[in-house]
Amino acid sequence: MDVGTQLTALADPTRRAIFELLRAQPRAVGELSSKVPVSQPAVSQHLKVLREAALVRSHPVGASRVYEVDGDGLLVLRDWLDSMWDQALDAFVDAAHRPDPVGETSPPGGPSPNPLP
Amino acid sequence: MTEAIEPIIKTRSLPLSVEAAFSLFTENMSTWWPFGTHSVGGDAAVRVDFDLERRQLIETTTDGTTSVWAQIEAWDPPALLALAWHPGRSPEEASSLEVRFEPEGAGSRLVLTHDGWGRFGDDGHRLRANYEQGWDLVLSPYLAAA
Repeated sequence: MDVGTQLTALADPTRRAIFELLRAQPRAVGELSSKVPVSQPAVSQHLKVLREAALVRSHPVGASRVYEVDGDGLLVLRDWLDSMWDQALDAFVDAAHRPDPVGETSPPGGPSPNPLP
Repeated sequence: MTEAIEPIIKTRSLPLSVEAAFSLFTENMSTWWPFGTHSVGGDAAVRVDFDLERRQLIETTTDGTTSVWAQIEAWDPPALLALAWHPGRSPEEASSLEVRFEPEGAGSRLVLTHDGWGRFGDDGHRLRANYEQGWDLVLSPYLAAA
């Protein structure tokens, strides 16, 4: 599973809403359909995309299926974000240890009201 | 449940005052951010600036192309920066990023919290409220015709 597939799965606003609902607690398809403004077949299609991205998984309960967040699958995206922030923050800490980190003796670089050209 | 769904929390100790740490993180972000591996423009990205009028964090490349990384949700120097983080994506896909600076010994500490899968706190409620509003918009023509 790759991060790009997972980010694409979460890009759709209805799928994000479904994912947020499952994040709160596992839910059956019928309950999810009652909480998002799309048809049940559309909800099932969104769940398929989320399942194929290893973001959710399901198990049968009676005649229904109950969906929940896939913690193992989510680790792909989480590890990527975790690593990304480690790299960015390590660069920040390196800069914090420079002799003149906020450039008080360098050319000015303060906040700009408009982006530089 | 699972810990994988919890927000990412990162802490770093800094040999700077909270004021200098906030300043370095924000006003001087271009002097340290690893653009090559962490940007929209890749190797062409050369600046990233907080635009306080537009309330946005904006990347600029060598040929002047800009892209918005985030909406500024809170700007409270030197203690708090909160962003709706969406580099390379639309604002609707933003996730919640919060950076706090706290005094620690002779220096300070940065605490970064990133809820990579959604919006925490009030923003989470706003996200859900948008979907309820969407349902009302779908229903209203039927109600009017009833």
